[in-house]
Amino acid sequence: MRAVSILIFVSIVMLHSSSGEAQIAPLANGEFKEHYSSDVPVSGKALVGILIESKKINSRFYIRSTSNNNMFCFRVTSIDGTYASENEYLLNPESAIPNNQGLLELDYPTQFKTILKGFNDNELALLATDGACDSRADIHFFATKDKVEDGDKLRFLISSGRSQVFMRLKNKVHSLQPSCSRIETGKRTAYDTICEIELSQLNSTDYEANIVRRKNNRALPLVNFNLAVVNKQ
Amino acid sequence: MIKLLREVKIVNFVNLLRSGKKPLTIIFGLAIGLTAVLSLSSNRNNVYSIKGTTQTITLSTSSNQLNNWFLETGSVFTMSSVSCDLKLNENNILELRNGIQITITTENISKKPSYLLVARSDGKTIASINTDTETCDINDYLEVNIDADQVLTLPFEAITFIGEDVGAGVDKLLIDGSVNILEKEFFTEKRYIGETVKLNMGDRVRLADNEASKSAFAKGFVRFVDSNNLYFSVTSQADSVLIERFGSSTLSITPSIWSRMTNDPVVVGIGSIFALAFLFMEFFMMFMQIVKKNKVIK
Repeated sequence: MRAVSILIFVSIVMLHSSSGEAQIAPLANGEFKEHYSSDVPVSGKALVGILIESKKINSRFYIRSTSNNNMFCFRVTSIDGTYASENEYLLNPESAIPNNQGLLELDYPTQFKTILKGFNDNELALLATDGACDSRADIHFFATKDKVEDGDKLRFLISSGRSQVFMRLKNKVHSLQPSCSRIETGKRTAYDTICEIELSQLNSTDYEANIVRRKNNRALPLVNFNLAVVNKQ
Repeated sequence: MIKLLREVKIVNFVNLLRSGKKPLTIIFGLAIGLTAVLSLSSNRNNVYSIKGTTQTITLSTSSNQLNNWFLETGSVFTMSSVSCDLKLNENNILELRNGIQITITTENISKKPSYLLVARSDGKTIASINTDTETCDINDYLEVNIDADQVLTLPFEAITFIGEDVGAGVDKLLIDGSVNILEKEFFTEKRYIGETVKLNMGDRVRLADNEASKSAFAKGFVRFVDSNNLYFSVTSQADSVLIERFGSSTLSITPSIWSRMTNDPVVVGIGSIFALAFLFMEFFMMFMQIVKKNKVIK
C-alpha cells in the first residue's frame, strides 16, 4: 500500500514537472531594486509605460517578448511618483518559458505588495525595454499585470508636461492612431496622459511609434520608439 | 400679587432643579442636548466658493448655455478639416459641446502676451462657431488664441480643475486663492461663512460630490485680468473641496463639526440664551438665599 502511494506521488511530481508550466524570468544580477518614498523621483522621460489593461491588480507582472538580447529592463512607476522600480531580467529560453498566452512572468520580490495593490490599473505604469537599463534601447515590449482577454486595450502612459498628446503607430502594413486623453484627477507627478488602442487592431509586425506633443501654441520635440509585437502562442 | 405668584413659581422651579427631582432635570437637560445634537448633525448643504488667480484652469463642460462664448476676436486653429470660415468676430458665438474638456491658459510667447483656449475630444465634435445663418462644427481639436490686450469674462458651468499639480514640465500654476465654505444656518435658509481656507501656489483644486472620485459641476467665470494671470471665481454646492498639494496626499476640505457652534448666528444666539438663562437662575438663587438669611436674622 505504501509503495503504491509513493508511486502515485512520484507520478504526480513527474507529470507536474513535464507539463511545460510557465516559469519565472529571473533577475539579471539577483538584486531587486525598488523605491517607495514621498520624495517623488521623476525621470523626465515622456514615455513612462506600455501595458495591456488589466482587470486584476496584484504585484505579479508579465511581459510578451521577442528580444534578440538575453536581457531586458523592466520599470514600474506609480502615477504619483512615490513608487518606482528598475530591474534587469534574463531572457534565457531554458529558464523562462512563456505561458499559453505568450506571457512570461517576472520575478518581482517587492516589499510593497499592499501598496502596489492599492493602485488601480491606470495608476501603475509598466515599461519593458530590450537590453540593459542603462542602454539607450528604444524597443519596448508589452507588459501586463493579468492574463490577456479579448477586447483588451494596449495603453501608453505618457508624461506630457500638461501638453496635448497625439500618437501614431505605423508599420509596413498600416498606420494606427491611438486615442489620447488627459488624466484629470489625483496626483499626476510621473505621467498625466493615456493613449490607448484595442489590441485586436495590431497585427503581428513590429511598429514604429511617434508621440507628438503640442504645448504653448507650438510643438515639442518628437518622441520616437519601436514596439515589438508578439502573437500569443 | 402677580409679581408674587411669578416669584413663587420661579422659586419653585429653581428649587425643583436644586432638589434633584429627576424628571424635570432630565427634561431640561434633554432640551439642551437635543438642541446641541440637532445643530451639529442637521444638514448644512455646504456651498463652496473658490476664488483667486491662476495661470491655468480646465473645464469639463455641461450642456448649459453659459458655455456659449462671445469671443469677438481670436485666431482659431484646428487639426481636422472644416468647410467654413473659422474667424471669430462680434457676430458669432463659440458654442462648446457637452462633456468637452477645455483648458484656458495664459501665454507669453515672443513677448506677445495672449490667452490660449485648448479643447480636445478625439473623434467627437467639440465646438461650433455659430452665426445667425451658419453653424461651423469643429471636431477633435481646437485652439483659440486671444490677444491679452482685451478685457474678457467667460462664464461657465463645468467640472472645474483649477491650477495644475506640480510635476515635470509643468509651467502654469495656481498663483493664489481661497476657499470659502458657506454653510446653511440652523433652521433657516440663510448662509454664513463657516470657514476660509487659503490656497497655496501650485495647488490643484476641484469640487467633489459624494465620493472623492466623483467631481461636482460648478458655475463660475474666468476673467482675463493681465497678461500673466486669470482671475477666477467658482461656486457650487458640494461635499468637499479636494486639493492636490505637492509633497502631501490629497487634502479634503470640509467644515469642522464645531464650525456651526462657533460661526452659525442662530446656534450662537441659542447658546447665548441658554447661558443667560442659567446666569439669571443662578443669580436669582443667590439673591433669594440672601433674602432668606436676612429674614431669619431679623
